Amino acid sequence: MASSTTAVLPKFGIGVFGGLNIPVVQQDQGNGTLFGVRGRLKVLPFAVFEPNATFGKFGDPDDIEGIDLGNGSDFNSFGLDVTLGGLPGVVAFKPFLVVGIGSYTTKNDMTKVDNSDVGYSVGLGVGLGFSPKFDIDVRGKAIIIPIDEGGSKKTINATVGLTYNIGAL
Amino acid sequence: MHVKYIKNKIGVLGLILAGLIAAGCLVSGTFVVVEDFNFTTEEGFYRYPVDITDNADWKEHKDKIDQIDAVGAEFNITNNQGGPVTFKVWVDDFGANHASVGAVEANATQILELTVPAGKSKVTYVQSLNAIMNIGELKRLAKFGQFDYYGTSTGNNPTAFVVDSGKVIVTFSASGL
Repeated sequence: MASSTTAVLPKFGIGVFGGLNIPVVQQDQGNGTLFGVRGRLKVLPFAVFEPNATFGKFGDPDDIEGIDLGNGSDFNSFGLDVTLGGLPGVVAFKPFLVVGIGSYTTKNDMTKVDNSDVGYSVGLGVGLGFSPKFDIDVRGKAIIIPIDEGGSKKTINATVGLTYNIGAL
Repeated sequence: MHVKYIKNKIGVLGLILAGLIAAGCLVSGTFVVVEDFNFTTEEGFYRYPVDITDNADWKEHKDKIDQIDAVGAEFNITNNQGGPVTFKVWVDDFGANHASVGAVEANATQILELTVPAGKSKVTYVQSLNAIMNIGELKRLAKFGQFDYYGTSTGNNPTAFVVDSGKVIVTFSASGL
């Protein structure tokens, strides 16, 4: 009876997360940090929608040939992720796949770069439901942001999150 | 059952990653090229043809350069003119070969104007980025990997105001390998 209720009722959650923002093949950016907030809405028996907002920054890049390249860029986003697995309200060890789409803004006052582009992400994670109301998750996402002129910017987000499942009981 | 479910998910992920790689998304990047130069020293007029096309990173990606992210410069300057000097930097198409201040002012695009104090000083890359103007034209020229670089200065004693050394720093994004 309990599992039947779990399968039918939508589950809501809100959470916070933080971690590392790691540029991929970007010599003008260094490793940085990020934090964010996300909602969690179980809309299918195997999928959770996660609207999210992330606030981050790349770190200062390494000097190249003795040149101090200045500061890393701000890197903010909002978007929607979908996890396959990692269902809320389940007390268990929960691996999941995550895919997402978002609007990513890269801004650097020094280089006067201020770009907002749609990007995509894919990754893996694992959740730990240690009570019906609380989940911890660790995930890694590869984010690919195509740029108008061609090619793309890429970064990896590695985060730890805590979610409070409002509708899990 | 659970293991099979996870395997299926990993399979989906693999297909997505394979698709992205096939599209060239995962093999593009952003690179920084540094070109050393020494201005010719004439009376208040300096010239250098910037050519980064021999740089290894540039050569590797030259056919797939998507955009110029930033262009800046670094200068080491000796100013023995006894007071501040206004130093301007201009750019134009590679091979323009302007031979006078008048020709530069009439035809080239000014990208920097700096006040250089007396004595030895250094203009850093970050300082140049903060002062740069007409960045659109500079990026357009930089995308060719070659452009003419000119400097003009107030005061006209070539031995009293010298750009001892300089660097041009170009950051570009390219796709594919």
